[in-house]
Amino acid sequence: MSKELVEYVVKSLVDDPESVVVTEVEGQSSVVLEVSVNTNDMGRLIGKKGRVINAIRTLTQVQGARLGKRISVEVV
Amino acid sequence: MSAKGKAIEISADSVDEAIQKGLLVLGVTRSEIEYEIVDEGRSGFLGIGNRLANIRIWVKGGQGDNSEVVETAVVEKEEEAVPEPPAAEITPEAGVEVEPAVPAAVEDMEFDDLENLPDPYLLEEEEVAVEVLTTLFDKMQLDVEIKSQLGEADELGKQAVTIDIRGEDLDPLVGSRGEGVIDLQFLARLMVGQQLRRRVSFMVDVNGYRHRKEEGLEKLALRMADKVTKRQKPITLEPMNSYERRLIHMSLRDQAKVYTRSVGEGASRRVRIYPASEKN
Repeated sequence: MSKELVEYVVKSLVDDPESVVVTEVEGQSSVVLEVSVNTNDMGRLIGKKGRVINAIRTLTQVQGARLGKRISVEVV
Repeated sequence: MSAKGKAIEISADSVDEAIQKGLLVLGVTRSEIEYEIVDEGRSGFLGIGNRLANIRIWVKGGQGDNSEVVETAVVEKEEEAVPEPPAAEITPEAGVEVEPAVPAAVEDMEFDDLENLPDPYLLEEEEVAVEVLTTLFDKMQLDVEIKSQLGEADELGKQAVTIDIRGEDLDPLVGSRGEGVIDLQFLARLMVGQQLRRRVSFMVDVNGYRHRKEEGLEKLALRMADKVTKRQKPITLEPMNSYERRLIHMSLRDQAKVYTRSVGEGASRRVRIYPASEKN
């Protein structure tokens, strides 16, 4: 499941894993994963020029392709 | 193994590393040893002008009086008393030298093994990296085989851990230009680094992609160097990331007929190969 994947990755990246919340909004052919973290960890989640969040998206896209679904990851 | 009574001399990139190595050699913990710094070492630029740190380390009580001396005092005294040895005498190959207080006891130790002691920091990095990637692929529900290996020391004496991931259905992960491998390595390093609270530099390879790419780059470098030598004109390669540029520089490092420089900034930084005749 993409949700568990994103949860694991994000929790391993931040200083405050307790505050990590990932919610899944499932549509017909798409899944939206909304990630929220402690404000202090925003930089770690997004990364310079969005490099971290984009790398996370690369992983979920690979998984999405296998499941035949578009998986998007949004920071909230 | 009782190492009591022996002081061994150890060289490494830094004093910290030398102590770590020493602990492994003596098979004791940090609190059981004492050491003195023979040479603090110096890190040069790109391997030029660097000198290995050198310490003398022994199990407490082994060298009698020395245990009374305050550490910092030893350091200062050593620096004043011992004239700096000429840099040429210290070669990077100088691994572990043993200066026994009791010569007979030395025969018990196997020196061949000591010279190739793995860096404990790297072993820790390797262990955590395998753990993190195993969980990651588990969550991705991809069936993979994960192997890790400690690479040979490169031209600058640096060793790196490579985590090799193999499995079917990994092509989408690699992507057309290996962007998935790069992203995966980037994330994995961050995750492991966060856990260990320090910077880590292991490599991640998926189905040998990086390996093939490296071979390709080395071949390219040699081919282009030939061309430069024939034409006696510089050639500029395609833009590459820092790792790829480094590979090119390294593969042409020992070629006397050409030399390399990186030119340009940011994403368009590229390697230029010059004929040696232009160097002055």
